[in-house]
Amino acid sequence: MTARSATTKEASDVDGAPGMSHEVRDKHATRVALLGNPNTGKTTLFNRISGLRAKTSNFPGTTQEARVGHAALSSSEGATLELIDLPGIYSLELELSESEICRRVLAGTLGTPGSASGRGAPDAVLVVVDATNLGRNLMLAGEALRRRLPTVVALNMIDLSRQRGLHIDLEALASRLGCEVVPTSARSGDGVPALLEAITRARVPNQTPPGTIDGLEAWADETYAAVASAAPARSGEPGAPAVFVERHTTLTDRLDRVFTHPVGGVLSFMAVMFGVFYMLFSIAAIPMDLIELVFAHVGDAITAVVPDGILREFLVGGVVGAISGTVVFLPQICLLFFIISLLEDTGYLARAAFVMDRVLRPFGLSGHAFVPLLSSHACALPGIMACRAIPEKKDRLATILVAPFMSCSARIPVYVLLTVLLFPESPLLQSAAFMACYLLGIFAGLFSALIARRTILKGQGRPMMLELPTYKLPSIRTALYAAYDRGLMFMKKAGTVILAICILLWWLSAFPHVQPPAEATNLSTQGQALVESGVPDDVARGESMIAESEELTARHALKHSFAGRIGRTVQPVFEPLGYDWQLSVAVMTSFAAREVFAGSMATIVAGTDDAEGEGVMQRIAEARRDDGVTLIFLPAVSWSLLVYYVLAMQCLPTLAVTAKEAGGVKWAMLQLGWMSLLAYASALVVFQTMTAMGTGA
Amino acid sequence: MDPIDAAMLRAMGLRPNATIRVCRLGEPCIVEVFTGATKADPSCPEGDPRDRPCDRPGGCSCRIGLARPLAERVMVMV
Repeated sequence: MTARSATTKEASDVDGAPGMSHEVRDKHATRVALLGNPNTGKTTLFNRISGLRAKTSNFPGTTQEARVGHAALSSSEGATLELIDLPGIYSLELELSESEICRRVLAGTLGTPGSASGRGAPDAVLVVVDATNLGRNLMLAGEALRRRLPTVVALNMIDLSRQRGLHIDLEALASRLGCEVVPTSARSGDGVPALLEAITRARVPNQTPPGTIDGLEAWADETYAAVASAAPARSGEPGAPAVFVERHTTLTDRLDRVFTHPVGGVLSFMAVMFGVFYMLFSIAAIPMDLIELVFAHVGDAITAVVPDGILREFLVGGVVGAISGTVVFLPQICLLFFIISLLEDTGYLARAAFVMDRVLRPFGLSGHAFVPLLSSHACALPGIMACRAIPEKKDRLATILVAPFMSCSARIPVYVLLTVLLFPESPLLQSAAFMACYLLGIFAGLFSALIARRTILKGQGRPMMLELPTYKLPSIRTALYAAYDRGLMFMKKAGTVILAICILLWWLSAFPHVQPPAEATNLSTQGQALVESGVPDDVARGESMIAESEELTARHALKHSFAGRIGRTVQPVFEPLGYDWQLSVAVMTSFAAREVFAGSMATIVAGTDDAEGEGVMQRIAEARRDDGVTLIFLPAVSWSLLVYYVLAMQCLPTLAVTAKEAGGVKWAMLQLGWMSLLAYASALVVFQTMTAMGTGA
Repeated sequence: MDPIDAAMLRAMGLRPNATIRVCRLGEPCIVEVFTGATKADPSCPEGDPRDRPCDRPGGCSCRIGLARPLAERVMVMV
C-alpha cells in the first residue's frame, strides 16, 4: 500500500509543493472517499457504481454513518474500489459533525465505517460537483484540492446543465483544478465507466487553491467565469436564447408558494401524510399477512416433526414466534423508507420540513424532526435512526427522547382491545378514542420536548436553513436501495435485539413448568371420557370441558411462571392504578414489547394468545378478579390502561437503539424513567379521578 | 447572526454581496442565490448579457429557505 502511506504523509502538509504527482497504483481495494455538497447526486452516483454491494455502518467510535460499497474495475483484473460515501457537506471547515467526519477521513485519522481497521488517508478523493451549480460547488472542490490527495472531479448532472444552456469547458476546468474532470450523469449512468478509469489514474492535483475564505471565493468565481459560458444553440432547442429571458415567477416559485404556505402548506402536508399512512397500513398489510402465514406453516411443520416437549415449545413458541414477530415489521420499515426516499428525491420533503418547523419550533424542536417523528408512527426504531439527519445535537437528542411517544403500530392491538372494551356498541366512539390516543401521544411528545429544551437540553434551537432542491421526478432505483439498506440494517441490529428479548419473554412466561391444577385434571379426564363415549351431545360437552381444562392449565402455568411471580410481586405498585395481579402480569410481560399485552390478557383470561379470536373478546370483557365478582376491565381501569400504554416506554429494542443513537445508556434510562413516570402519573390521575367521580365502575 | 449560522450560509452560497432573487417573503423566506460570477463582478465575461449563464433564474443558482430568525438578519439591497 505504497500509495496510501505516501498520501498520508502528503495530507499532513496541506500547503505542500504543488504538482506532486502520485498515481494510485494499488490494484486491490483502492479506498476512494466520495465528497460533495448535498443534492449533487453523490449518493445516486455511489449507488450506480456499487449497486447492492454496499452496506451502511458507523464510523468507528461515532454515531455518524456512511455507506461503504465496492466495485470491480473491468480494465484491471482483480482490482476493486472501496467507496466511502461521506455525508453531504457545504464546507470542510464548518463546525458541524459531518464536516468534522469528512476532515478526519481525508486526514486519515478516522477508519472505514464498520471496520476497526482501515485508518489512513484514502487512496483517492472523488469530488462530486453539480454542473448546474458549479460556482458554489467549486468552493468545496477547492478545499478538497488543498488536502493534496489524489483527486478526481465528477462533473455530475452534466445533462441537466446542457439542457439549461450552460457550456462548461472541461479542459479549462481540469487545467484550473489540476486534476482530471469527468462529466457524468449518475441517473443515466453516462460517464461512469470513464470516471472509474479516471480514479485509477488519480493524481495529487498540481494546483493549490487559496486557503482563506475570501481567497477561495475569488478563486471559485474566477474559475467559474473562465470555464462556463452559454452553450451555442438554435432557437427552440434546449439552451436556446429564449431561456435567458428573465422570468419573474417560475414554476418552482409557484409550487414553493403552495407547499410552504401557512395554510396551503399544512393542508398539502396532511394530504401527503395521509397518503403515506394509507400506504403504510394498507399495502404493507399484504406482505405482513403473508409473513405471518408462512411462519404459521413453519410452526405447524415443526409441531408435526418434533415430539412434544421443551424443544418443540422452544422452537415454536420461542424461536419461530420471535423471528415472526420481528420479520413481520420489515415490510412497513422498507416501505416507509422507500416512500421517504421518493419524497426526498422529488424535493418536497425540504419544503415540508419548513412547514413543520413553524409548528415544532415553539416546542424547542426543529423542522428536521418531523421525518423522524413521522417515521415513529410506524415504529420508533427507524424513527430514532432517522434522527441522524438532524444537524444540531440538542435538537437531535430531544427528538430521540420524544420519538417513542408517537403511537407506533405495536400499540394498535392494545388500542383496539381497550377501545372495544370501552365502547363495545359504538364504532364511532371507538374511532374517536383511537384518534385521541394518537393526539395524546403527539401532545405528550411535544410537551416533553419543551421540558427537555428548557432543562437538560437548554439552549436556543438553531434556526432552520435548508437548500431547497429543484423539483424533479424521483429515482425508483435510489428509493429501492434506501429501502433495502434500511431493511437490512433493521434485521441486523434491531432484529437481533428483538429476537433475544422475545425468546427471554417466552422463557419467563413458560417456565418453570408446574403440574396442572387438580380441577383442570379432573375436567380433562371427564371431558376425555365423554368424547370417547361417542354420543354426539356428550362429545360436544366433553370438548368444551377439555377446552376449559386447557384454559385453567394455561392460567395456572402463567400464574406460577417467572413472569407471573414477577407480576404478583409488583402488583402493589399497580394497585393505585386499579390493576389486579392479572393485569399486572400482562403489563409486566409487555414491558419488553407492548404488543404482547393483548396476547397476554388473552392467555390469562381465555387460555389462548389470540386476542381477536372468536369469543375471546367477550371472555376478556367479562373476566373477573380473584373475588369472582368485580370485573377486571372496569371503565376507569380501561381508560387508565389506555393512557398508560399511550405514554409508557414498553419497548426494550427502542431503549437499545436510543442508547446507541444518543451516545449513551444514560439517555435511554432518562427516556425510560420520564416516560414511565409520566405514564404512571397520568394513569393514576385518570383512575383516581374517575373513581372519585363515581364514573369508574 | 451566530457565527456558525453565518459560516453555514456563506458555505451555502449566501455570502457578502451575493446576488439573490427573493422568491418568497415571509416564513420560510426563499431566496435564489446566484453563485457564479455576477454582472457586478469584474470576473464575469464581457459581451452579450445572454452569454452570462450566471445571471438568470435556474442558471447557476440554488434556492435556500430561511427561517424567520435568520431571514431577519439578512440585509438585501435592491
